[in-house]
This record gives sequence, structure tokens and C-alpha cells, in this order.
Amino acid sequence: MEYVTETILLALVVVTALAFDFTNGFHDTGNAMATSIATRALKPKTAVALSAVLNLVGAFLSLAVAATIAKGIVDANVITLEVVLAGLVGGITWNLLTWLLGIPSSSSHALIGGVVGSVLAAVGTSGVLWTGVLSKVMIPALLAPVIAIGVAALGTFLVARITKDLPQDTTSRGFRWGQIGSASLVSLAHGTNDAQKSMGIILLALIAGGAVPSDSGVPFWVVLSCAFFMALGTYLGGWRVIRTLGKGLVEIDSRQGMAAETSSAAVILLSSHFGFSLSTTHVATGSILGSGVGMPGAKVRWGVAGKMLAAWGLTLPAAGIVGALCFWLQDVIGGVGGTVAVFTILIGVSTAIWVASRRKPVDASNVNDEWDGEGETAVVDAAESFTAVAVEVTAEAEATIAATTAANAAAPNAVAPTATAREGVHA
Amino acid sequence: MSEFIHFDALLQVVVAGAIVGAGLPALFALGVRLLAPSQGAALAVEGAPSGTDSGPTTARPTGLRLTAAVVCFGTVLAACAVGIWFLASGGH
Repeated sequence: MEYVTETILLALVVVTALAFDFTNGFHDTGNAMATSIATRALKPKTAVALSAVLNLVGAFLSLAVAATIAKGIVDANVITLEVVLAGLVGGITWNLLTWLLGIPSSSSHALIGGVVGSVLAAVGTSGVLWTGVLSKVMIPALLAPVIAIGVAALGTFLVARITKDLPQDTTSRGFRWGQIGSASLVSLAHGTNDAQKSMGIILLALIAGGAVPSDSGVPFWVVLSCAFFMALGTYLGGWRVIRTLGKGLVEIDSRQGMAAETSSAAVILLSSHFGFSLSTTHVATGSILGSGVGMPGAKVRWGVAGKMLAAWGLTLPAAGIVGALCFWLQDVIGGVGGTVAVFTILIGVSTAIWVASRRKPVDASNVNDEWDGEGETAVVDAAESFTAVAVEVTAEAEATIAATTAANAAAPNAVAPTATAREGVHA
Repeated sequence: MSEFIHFDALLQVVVAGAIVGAGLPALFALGVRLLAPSQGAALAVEGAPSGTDSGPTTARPTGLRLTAAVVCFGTVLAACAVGIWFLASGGH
């Protein structure tokens, strides 16, 4: 029985890690491709297909996996499969919620938040290295956009000066190519860095579950499936996030797009080279803002930018709360029942968010529509309809879990999805 | 504070980021400009066909401009190659 429990737990962790990998690709397509789509350098479908292929290639490009989760942020000794599962659920939930609201937010910060939350629930504050949280997560999240805004603004300003008296069709033709090239580099970097995180998680789970020896490299099926799910997520395209990045922040032309993507690629690669890793999402968003700051006469919607910054601040606590609740629920119910319950909640919440997104879909056909001044109305609608759906799903999830566990153990579960829904409204 | 921020790494990222991240778009822009059909005398560096027609001339770029443009785009492409090499070598 012990063996069966371990196997089921391991299988669910692997599936959840792949689901996180999928949302990661899905959520981050816009980082690379939003500007190319907004300036029509590429057709929307072509852009996401190109990005998907490059993410796939990127995942195979390097396998220098550091098989650690949240290294230097939580105590490595307290990481168990249960902690990882709850953390992953926290990360996925936050990724999906921010997608629903069209807010680009860092996938890796969401995962870290989820893991920190579940570690807090598992062993308390002693399991978290707070200096690491500050220096590796919070402060970089504040600095990344500032650096990217500066670099992109300078680049855009120089480009605008140099091409000032050239006819627009000449510059568009040239810069579209430059834009596609630099966006491709961002996609490749994303595939290499982020797919490896999922591979690391799965490898760690396999080692913890005793499925592979502790000195094992990454099995080929893990590389293949992580690359595949990230590319699939990228191809399906988080159109809501793409729209905000490409149309919501700045009205962008191909010169700005080229400067923004080059700034993103340069800052991402250089920061990892100098050991000061910055989130792809924060850098890409900052670069797009910077391309508005540096362009004479361009208008930047600072209100939209402010909402994003607020969401970045919420990422860690919000994903952490979900992670903690999931861990508690798992712990209270215990065994296979607990794991299955958490997994069921994940499916329920994901379904609710997806259903809510269908009420006001954004896809390849309307991603470039005019940003209507108060474009946030769409966001508020989405949040409201999500709350409604979440209540229904909560009831369903409760029923499911009540059936699989003792009636009194099911009580904490009622809290999880509702709390998630509230986060959504406030974000 | 330095416990939380690695100032030297931060400074390196800012300086190198500004040089590479803003310099490459500027080089690219210069390349585009050099290849663009020259308009009037202002941009005619040497040997551009002098104004037989009054409108903007659509002369092809001359040798010098072409060479300079190739250098600009070449540098940009080389930087991309370095970027890909960096990713492939797992360098972080």
C-alpha cells in the first residue's frame, strides 16, 4: 500500500509539473512576441508558432540543469513531494488568474511563491530563508523593470534620432526583420531557462520517489515532455497577456518593437551571465514601457503599468496562500486522498478560470483591436464572472472530496478556491 | 544593504545592458539608414548621382555606404550568435 501511495503521488507531481510547464509557456508567449504581433511584423498565428518552435529548440539547447527548486530561498531539506505538489498548484493558480486578468507576471516567481507558502505550512518560518526571498525575488522584481525601462528608452531614443528623416515604409521594412530576430532570441532564451526549471522539478521528484538514482541525469522522456508542453502552451498563446503587452502599455511601431526586444534579450542574457538573474517577464514588460518612454511623442499608459506592478507585488503572497492551503488540505486528509483532493481542486479552479475566460475571449482574431481607454472593463467583467463560476466549482469540488474522504476532513477545502477567487478580484 | 543587493553585479548588468541593449538597435538603425535610398544632398556621402531629377533620388547605396551598412548588420548578427552560443553553453 505504501508503494502504491508513493507511485500515485509521484505520478500526480509529474503531471502537475508538466501542467505548470504548460502554463509557463502559455503565460510567457507575450514576452517575446507581443511587440511583433502589435506592429504586424508577424501574423498572430505565425508569431506564436515561431515562438513555440524556438521554445522547443531552446529546451534541447542546454541541459545544465540545476536540480533544485527555489535554491537559496527555502531550506532544501524540507522539500518533500507533498510540498512540491502544493507549491506547483499555487504557481499554476496564480499563472492562470493573472492570464485571465491579462496581466503579465513572472512564472518563476509564482512557483517560488507557491513553494514558499507550502514550506511555511509544512514546517513554519524556519524553513524559509528570508534573506534569499528578499535578495533573489523581491528586490530583483523591483529593479528589473527599472533597468529594462532605462535600456529600452535609451535604445528607442537613439533609433528614433538616427531614423528621424527616413520615410516610414523604409524603416518599417528594415525594423520588422530586426524585431523578429530579437524576439526570436528572447523565445530561445525562455525555452532554455524555463523548460529547465520544470525538468529540474520532475527530476527532483523522481529522485525523491526513488524512481531514478540520486546521481541520475535528466531522463530523455522528461526533456522531451517538458519541451513539448512548453511549446504547446506557447503555441496556444496567452492572447490576453499578449494584448496587454502589445496594445495596453504603449502604442508601438516596429522601431520601438525592435529596440524593446533587443533590450529584453540583452538584459536577460547579461543578467544571467553576471549572476544577477532577472525575470523574463519583468524585463520584457519594462522594455516595452521603455520603448514608450524613449520615443518622442509616444504615450505610455502608466495606469496599466501600475496595475502590473501591484500584481507583481501580490505574486509571492497570493501563490503562497494557495500553496499553504493546498499543503494543509493534503496534510489534514492525508495519504492518497489528500493528494487526489488537491489535484481535484487544481482541475476545478483551472476549469473555472477557463470558463470565465470564454465569456470575453481574446484570441488571434481580436488581439490587436484598439485598446479602449478604459480597457480594464474587460478585466473587471472577467473577474466578476470568475467569482461566480468559482462559487459553483467550489460547491462541486466540495462534493467530490466529501465523497472520497471523511466528512469532517472536507471542511478546510471550502476555503481554498474561494480565497483564490478573492485574490482574483483584488488583483 | 549589500547583503540584499549585489551592487557590483547590478552595476555590470546596467552598464553592459545599456551598451549592448541600446547600442545594437542604434547600429541596426544606422544600417537601415545607410541602405535607405539617399534623399537629396544631405546624405549623399560621395559619388551619389547629382540631382538630374528634382524629386528624391532613388540611387542605390554607393560602395562606402554599403560597406558601412554591412559592418553594422554584421556586428548585430555577431552579437546574436554570441547570445545563442551563450545559451547553448548553459553559461550561467
